[in-house]
Amino acid sequence: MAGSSEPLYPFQWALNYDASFFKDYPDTFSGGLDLNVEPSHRQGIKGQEVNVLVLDSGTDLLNEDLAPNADRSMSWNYLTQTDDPLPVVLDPNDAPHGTVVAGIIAAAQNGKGIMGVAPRVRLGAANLLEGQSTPNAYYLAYGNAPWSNKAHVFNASFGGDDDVQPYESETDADTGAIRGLKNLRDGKGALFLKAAGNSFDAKLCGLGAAYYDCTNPANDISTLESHVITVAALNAKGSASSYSSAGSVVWITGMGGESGQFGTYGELPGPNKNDGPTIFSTDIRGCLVGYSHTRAGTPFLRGQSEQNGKPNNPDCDYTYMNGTSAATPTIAGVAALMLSANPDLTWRDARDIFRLAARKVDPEYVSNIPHGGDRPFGALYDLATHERSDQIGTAADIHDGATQVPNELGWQKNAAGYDYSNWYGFGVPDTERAVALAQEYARNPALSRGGDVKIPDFAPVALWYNGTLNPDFDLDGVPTHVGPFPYRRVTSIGKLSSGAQTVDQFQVRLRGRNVCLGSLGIAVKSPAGTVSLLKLFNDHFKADGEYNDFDDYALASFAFYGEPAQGDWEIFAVASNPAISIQVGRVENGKLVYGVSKPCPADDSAAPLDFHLATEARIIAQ
Amino acid sequence: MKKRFFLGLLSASLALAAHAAADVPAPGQKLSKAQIAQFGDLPAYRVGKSTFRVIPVRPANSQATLLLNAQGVVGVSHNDIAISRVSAETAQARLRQIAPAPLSIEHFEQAGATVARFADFGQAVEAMKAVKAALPEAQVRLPIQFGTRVPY
Repeated sequence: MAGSSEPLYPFQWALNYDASFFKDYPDTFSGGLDLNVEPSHRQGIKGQEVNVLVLDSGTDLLNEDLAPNADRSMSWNYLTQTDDPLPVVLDPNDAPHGTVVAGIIAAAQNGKGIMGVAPRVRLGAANLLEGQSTPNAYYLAYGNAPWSNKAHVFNASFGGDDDVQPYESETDADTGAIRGLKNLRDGKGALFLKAAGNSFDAKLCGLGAAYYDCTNPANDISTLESHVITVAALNAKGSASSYSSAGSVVWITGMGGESGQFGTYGELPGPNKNDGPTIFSTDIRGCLVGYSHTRAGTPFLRGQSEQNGKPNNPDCDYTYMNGTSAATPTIAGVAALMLSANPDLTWRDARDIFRLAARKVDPEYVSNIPHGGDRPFGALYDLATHERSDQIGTAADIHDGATQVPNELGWQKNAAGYDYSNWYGFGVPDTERAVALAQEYARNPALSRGGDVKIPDFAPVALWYNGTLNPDFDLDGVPTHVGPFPYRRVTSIGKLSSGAQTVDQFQVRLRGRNVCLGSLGIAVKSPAGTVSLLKLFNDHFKADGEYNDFDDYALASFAFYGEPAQGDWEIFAVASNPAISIQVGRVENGKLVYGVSKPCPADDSAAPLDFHLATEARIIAQ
Repeated sequence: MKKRFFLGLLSASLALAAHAAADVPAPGQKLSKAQIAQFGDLPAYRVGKSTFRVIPVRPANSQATLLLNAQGVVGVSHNDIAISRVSAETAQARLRQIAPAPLSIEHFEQAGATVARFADFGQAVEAMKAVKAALPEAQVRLPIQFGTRVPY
């Protein structure tokens, strides 16, 4: 093993799956894979000369495995205004988070604890999440401060996906700052790795088995930017981690594991038989704070475990964690290895290499049945009754007038020949292949793509309304349709025509009044016939019941990447029945309570409600 | 993520519940009509396509403004406008002509943005209108953050 110098390396299955400690536990560890980093490590490629900035809750840079790589000139504490990013508020849930993330990328190969995916990077960190309410916090974090402008790779294991955030509107608070990342590295652009989220089973779109993601990663508008690489999570059995948010903005998948609650190291499946190992890393030092502490759930996390008769976490300086938060730094580490092999890669090169080096995993997942469920993930739903059938749907089921559709399409090959999945993006990268491609780009610079993608303004596509037309919605010359909102069916709501160009991504932006956002799904069909689900019906907006008015709510899809854009793009409303409530869990006074979703504005054939829905779209071109 | 069965959304809700206990609503929190009514008549400002109402309380240790959007969701503004697509010199020259003058002006080179902070939200709204009128080629935004980012 390339990491045999590190005592906890046998637990790092993301780096070496076959030799893992967990291989003796087939109930939780079989059929999976690792990132195939060892060939690169054996070549001596370990992240040298690459600067990685962890934007998170804060980081304990004095941990023995982080200190050798820590660079205070790349670090900042928003609250103390110093270069020590140790979290100020030692909240037990969040404070250790950034220290764990940092170790997954950058823990040193020093004979102690673990090693990171890129164990020789320069590591900076900032407690952005603690300081996010301070003025200009994101401008400073995204390369506009002396401590952030040297970063080559940014890790963002955070997000906010539970609300409508207006995109490219007059009040957009994010896009300007995040686009500046493309100017870093002397114009080559920083690599920005962003977690997709953990909402697949958030109980906010149903209390039964989890059939689909409750909150769309695209609700965090930073994921709509082409240079933001959104990362999903895989478990140790080679399928999506049970929590990993899915959506058409996911680009790639890293290793996140399950919850690790049972056994000494999280190796057991637990009574529900669905748990398993997570990702091992560094922790805030000591057994009083951090995820490892004296009252934690497993012996390793309590500092009580032994390996070959010796305690292997006696000071609680190491821990483990799951989440797309854990998966994202595994990919940030791979990014650092790629840049170490070829520092001239642009952000576009790195993103392309991730796609080219990705492996298709879990190929038949739409046929699988979720834990506790009785129908496949890809089952057809009746949009009027919300009943699932035994039959698996396909893209061909999404057409004007359809009343039964799937909420997941599985892997699809697009017209450019690329396999894409809302769960996995383009798949799990093979690091050996990614580094080899980076080296190939160095040998042949003609492969490299500089500059930016082409970002036009949104174009109006259609206005659907009933009742009196609000003057705000008077989109001159845009096709209009008057009548009741087309719930309980699939409806082609408009088309966008494109000239000859190559697709990077397709975006849709919606503005609605008195429209049940939680009942509204959005699908898009390209001129080449590829179909992508950009938003699912019966998502968490339905639970609230009051998301009926929304402005500049945007969605995006990378499923069409590389396709010729020329022709008509068809946008579909995939609308369920707003009159049917769904069972949900919600927090009230700090406790989880169960109930049903609040009423949504529903149509009634006897007295259709007034509503407006304006749809815009654009093609981000390569 | 650390053994959170209900993950980001619910942990965020817990955090918001804690804020609510202190009677200062937090960004991302959705207020009921009854809660909003307790504030009385609220001044409203039109920004672009949307109208925002200003809540008469401030976050702790901050001069930021709390706002409500049409859905009753709380947002936060630092009373600043961000100007891009024109040079820093052009933006700053225009900002110096605005009265009342901004409290501060900062330029963020990598983002190509000049950010001017004002004493209150109303001043920022008026400044936005003035800069848009004077510099039609500029992109002028008045950032409002709805929600708080949480660790995944």
